[in-house]
Amino acid sequence: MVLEGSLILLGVFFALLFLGVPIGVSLGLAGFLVIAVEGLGIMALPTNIWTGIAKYPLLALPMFVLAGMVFERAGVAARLVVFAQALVGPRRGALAIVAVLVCLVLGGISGSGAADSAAVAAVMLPAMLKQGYPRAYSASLIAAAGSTAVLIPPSIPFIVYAVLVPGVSVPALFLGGVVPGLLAGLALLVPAIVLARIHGFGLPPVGEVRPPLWASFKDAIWGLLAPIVILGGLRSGAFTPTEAAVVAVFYGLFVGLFIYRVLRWADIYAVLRDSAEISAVVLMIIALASIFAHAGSTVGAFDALAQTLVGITANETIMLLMITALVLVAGMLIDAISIFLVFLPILLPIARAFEWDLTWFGILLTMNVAIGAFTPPMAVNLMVTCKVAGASMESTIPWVIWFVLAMLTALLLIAFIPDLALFLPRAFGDL
Amino acid sequence: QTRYKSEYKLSVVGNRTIPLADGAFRWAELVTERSGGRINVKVYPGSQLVGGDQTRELVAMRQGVIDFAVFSTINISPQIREMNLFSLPFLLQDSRGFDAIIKGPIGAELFRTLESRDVQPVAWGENGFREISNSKKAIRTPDDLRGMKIRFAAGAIFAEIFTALGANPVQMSFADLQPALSTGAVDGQENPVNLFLGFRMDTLAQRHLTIWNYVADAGIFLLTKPVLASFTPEDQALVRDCAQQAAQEQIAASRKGLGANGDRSSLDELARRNVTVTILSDAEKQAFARATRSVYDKYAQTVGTDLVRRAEAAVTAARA
Amino acid sequence: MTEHADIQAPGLQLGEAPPRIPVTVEGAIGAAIMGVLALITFGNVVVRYFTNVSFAFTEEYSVALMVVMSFVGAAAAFGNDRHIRMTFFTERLPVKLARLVEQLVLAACLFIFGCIAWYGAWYTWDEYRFEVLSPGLGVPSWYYTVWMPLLSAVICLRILGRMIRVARA
Ligand code: NA
Ligand code: NA
Repeated sequence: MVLEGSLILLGVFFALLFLGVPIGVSLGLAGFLVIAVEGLGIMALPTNIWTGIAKYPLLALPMFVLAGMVFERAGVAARLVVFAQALVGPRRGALAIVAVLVCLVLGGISGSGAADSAAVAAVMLPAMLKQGYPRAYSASLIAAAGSTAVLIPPSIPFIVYAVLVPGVSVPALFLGGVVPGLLAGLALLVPAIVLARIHGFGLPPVGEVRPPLWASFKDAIWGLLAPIVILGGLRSGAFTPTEAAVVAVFYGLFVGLFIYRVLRWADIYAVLRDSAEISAVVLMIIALASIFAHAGSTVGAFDALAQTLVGITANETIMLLMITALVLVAGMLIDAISIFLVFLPILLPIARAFEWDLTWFGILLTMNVAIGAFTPPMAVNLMVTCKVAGASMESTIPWVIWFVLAMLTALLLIAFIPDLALFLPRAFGDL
Repeated sequence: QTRYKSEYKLSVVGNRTIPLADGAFRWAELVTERSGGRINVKVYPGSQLVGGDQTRELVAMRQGVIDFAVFSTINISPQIREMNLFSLPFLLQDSRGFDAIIKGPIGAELFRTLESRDVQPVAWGENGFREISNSKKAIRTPDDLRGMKIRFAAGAIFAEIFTALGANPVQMSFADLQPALSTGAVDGQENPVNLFLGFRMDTLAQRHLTIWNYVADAGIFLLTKPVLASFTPEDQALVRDCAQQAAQEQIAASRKGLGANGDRSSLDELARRNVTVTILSDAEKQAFARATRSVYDKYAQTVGTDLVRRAEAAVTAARA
Repeated sequence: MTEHADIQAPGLQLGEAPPRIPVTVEGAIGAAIMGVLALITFGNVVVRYFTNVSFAFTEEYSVALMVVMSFVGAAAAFGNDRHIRMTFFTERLPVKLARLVEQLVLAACLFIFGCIAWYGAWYTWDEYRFEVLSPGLGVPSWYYTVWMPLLSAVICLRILGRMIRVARA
């Protein structure tokens, strides 16, 4: 029963995935077949679909998606670009540095890497192409830098992780993600600048005027304040995560409508509609994946897999590297939310066996899936930036590999020095 | 006789660290062991067979997704109105009042109600008296609760109790409770002390706990009628005997360390974990009872006025 | 049609026509629910800060609305092929073969949502005849869960629509 069930579960899932069946449907169908074949009670299907998403803490997810989209359209990104340009000044690779910086700040507002990448790509790609940055390079860089949005709070994967893992709190994850997110951003700057120098592109035209620092700062201040409003409100205990998100929504609407005046009332409808659909796509994956999770745990597949993994090695370092490799490979194929739903039932017993801190473990896994979001062939961020840049995904491979390696270095730092991630939540008493 | 299944699924809310779930594991162990593996019962803790939503366990039993279960009465009260008896504020008062219900004719009557719903209860257990905790301040008067967001497990009666006390009640399943406490989505919750300790709610910012014994939930050990009927008469007796034994152990574990027979180990453990414990006097409880009297009267009608009057008499007699 | 970057643009081009009933219907319902969710939540924050009352009890509605929004949004995403999926391999197939594979993909989607509609209807029926009340507000539970089979049926129609359009392409 265990072996047969496990084989059906994984075999059907991967077969459907490679055929191009939506990820949620692949998961749900594989799980449902196991339930039917092994006679686990067919009514588990509607029950788990409903209970998988009718969860109060999940309300934070659509609210943060909405907040991210409001800011994406509120004209914040363009002002942040000008301010970052004033900071960086005219030098080789300046726009690459600006792109990373803006991704980091917008990451403090948006909870989704794809949204961050999309916003920055829309504002920066035309200028980058004009200055001779290759299309594939620009798409790779922005996709990679945008992935830090899931590490820098707020973060949708962190919310899902906290919902799935008892005893791990959203505020602790949010605070813990700050340093790894910034480290990842710094790490990306190294290949960004080195590649520009080696290949000799990204030199600003002579005579380009540096924007005035103070004026551009004043212009950008509303956007710069947003991460502080979100994290501060959450930290002070004034808001729950859901409320923090909704406060950010109304703050963003205020800035977009009355300060920057780029948001029109008609845009609000579009923002509501699009964020509803994006949330729906993610929530439906969660609902269908809960069938997969139900089948996997009822048939005993997850226990068996976890035991096999633990049986391979008792060495903590080797286990950690194995998990990293496993999730990295999985991240090339499936998205962050699905990875958590599929792998957490297997990985959590292992984490507990080694007595790893589950907050740190969540941050580490999220770094992993962040990398997965810009590694082909299934790379949500890269798809978005490639579309804006007009580049094919294959053409990015020689560039994107360097950014993957850079962020992997940051990941290994967090893996072997957990305090880098944990000292902030500890200092604020969240752990 | 039909053939026995290779595995029988037992559902329970929570996990091994709490007496309610521990009773379920004991039942499964005893049945599997004493039947020599003929009846192989596997426990699915955390209500995972119904996606963590323990209020759906009864429906899932009737649909054949679950074979055995250990319920807390609170979670089936939205479907079995009479079970709200255990949730009438300040009716039971202490274990003497509680025992008067489950060990007397009223307990038998409640079991007959359950039997009319395709399931067969086989033993009464105990989850315990529910005490209120929160992250903000010690609760001594109804006024202290004002404005606090309090999670409750299930049942509109709790929404009305906490509204009457000026708090903001929020319903959510037990599986959602931990993320909600850790994210600060709610300020407080109410559960038995040994569950509070077992789930380490002190690490989820719950710093204040008030012992007020406002309601208690019983545990119910049950299985579906078709499953019970598929067993031989000897095995049916075995399943019942094992349930009785596991229930006795569960009741003892639920009451452990709360002051009876000089055993204060659970209360001491709370102090060690820096939880402020406020024990209400009878007069202080009266203030809460007065504030929730209208809810009591309203739900006495839902439960059945006659049943409630007999329960009141049984409790009074037992505590005299 | 919705034009948003957050959902991957399908790299797979099969040359099908846009849906005859545009997904603006689902879009409008989704937008309305999202707006209501934001207003309820924001209202709770504001009222809590300026008064002593709160309407936390609305969270039962919010959660149910979120589930409805998920099904409505999923229907829209099926109509325009915007679910997250890996088309890396099928993009490399000749168009005729790719269309055939796409029919298989859509059949898989139709099967699972057909099952959710069918068993979901039984589920709602059970809640109705067992007189299950919602655990929070004590209203009949099927008021909420009935949307699961109904909207799954809508999703099935959207999938069927796409099957027809891909076949005609
Ligand atoms: Na973020
Ligand atoms: Na990837």
